[in-house]
Amino acid sequence: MTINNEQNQPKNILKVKDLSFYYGDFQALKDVSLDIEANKVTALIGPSGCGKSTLLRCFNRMNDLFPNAKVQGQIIFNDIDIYSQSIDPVLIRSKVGMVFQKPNPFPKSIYDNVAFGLRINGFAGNYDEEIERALVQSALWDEVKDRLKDNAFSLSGGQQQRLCIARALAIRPDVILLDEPTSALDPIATVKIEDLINVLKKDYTIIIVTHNMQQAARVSDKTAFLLSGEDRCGVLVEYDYTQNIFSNPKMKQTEDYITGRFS
Amino acid sequence: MPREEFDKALKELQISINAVEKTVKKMINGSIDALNTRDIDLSNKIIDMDDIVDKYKDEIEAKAIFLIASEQPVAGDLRKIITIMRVIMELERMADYAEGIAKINIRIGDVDLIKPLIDIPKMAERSIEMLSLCLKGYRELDVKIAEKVCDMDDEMDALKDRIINELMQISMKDPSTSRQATFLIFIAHNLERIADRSTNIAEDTIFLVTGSSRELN
Repeated sequence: MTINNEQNQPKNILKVKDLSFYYGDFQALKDVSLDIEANKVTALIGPSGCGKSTLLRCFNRMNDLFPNAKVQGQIIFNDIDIYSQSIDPVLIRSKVGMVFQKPNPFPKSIYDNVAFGLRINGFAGNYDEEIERALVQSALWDEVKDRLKDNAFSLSGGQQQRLCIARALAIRPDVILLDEPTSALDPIATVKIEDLINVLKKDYTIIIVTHNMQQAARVSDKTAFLLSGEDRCGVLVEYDYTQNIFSNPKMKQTEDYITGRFS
Repeated sequence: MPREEFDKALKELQISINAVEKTVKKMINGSIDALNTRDIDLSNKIIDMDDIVDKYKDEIEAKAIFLIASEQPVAGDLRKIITIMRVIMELERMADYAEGIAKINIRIGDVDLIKPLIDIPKMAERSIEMLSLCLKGYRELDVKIAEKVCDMDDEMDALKDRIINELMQISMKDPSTSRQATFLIFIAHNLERIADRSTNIAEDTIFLVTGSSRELN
């Protein structure tokens, strides 16, 4: 009998190779290398200014929107270098969706919020079906199915955030980037989002930036700890399975940070 | 240094552990003294002391559980609290074994011993040495000391086997001694179990320092 080892190997959907990032003259990230496993949740943690949100935004080229931004190194997404000149960043963003810290629905109906991405991508299929799918996946359908024409702002903060997740899911991305998705939410809405993350990882790869250590420990499979040195430049200190990071980290800096002894 | 309150709370728990250590040592020493001198009053005092240890254990556990809930410790901090809870559990069980020896002494009753005690006091002495050493290793986060404690346990096992053989021979020669011989075997067993608890604390220390569990004995 032969064993197919390939099946057991984790699939790395994103490979970051020696990534450095500059805002003009300021270097925000230095030589970051890490692989993101498909259908897993990866948490990026570290103190403010360590570059974790910058790294997150690198995954869908959102940093291109900053003037004088410069990238060195590579991010390989499904065997494609997303920073190669022939790549359209809009295409990347359709495959790598993003949800932000504060819920930011459009001033439109619940339905139109979810339909937005489909429309601008010229989707020609059944809108009702796709919108229901996205709202079911974001665990919002039961709460909004009878009021799809209501304005999105009539929803609670937690519901608005799940609507933003539905909006990202509607265009069927492979990866979802979550930038502190629960920092503006109450504990009940936070738990709903965390439960949702656990469900969504069956179909999507999720990368989450969070300041909440317990949240990183609860929801993620792997955790990357970043830290900025005296030159304020962010480096990757440790990257490992979340259980190892929160039980027995290898680096003292990681232990100091997660135990709140960082000074 | 941040988290001063958390570190202060850990130190307070450590002070309570030190107090329990003293009480347990008194109980082990006292239970064997009472056996040797046929002192029933002292045995009753040892039995009462077990309540003190139980009370400490409840208090330490309650404080540790609240620290976990309020501070949500991770990594080394979490291991510190987990280890405190394990250590107090081991100490409480040691106290139970010493209390057991005191109860056996009362059951032996107001009679002379069938033989002078030599190896049983030696076992008691060794078990107290192991207790001191395992808690020194725990306090100083010293894996080498922890490993030494586990090595010492072999001597305790050998002493217990020797006591059992000797008492079995005595009771075979003179069956009227078998009741007390059985009680003394129980006492040797209790002392051997006290030593095992010290090796558990040594293993807990290795977990605390290295983050991984290792069975040593």
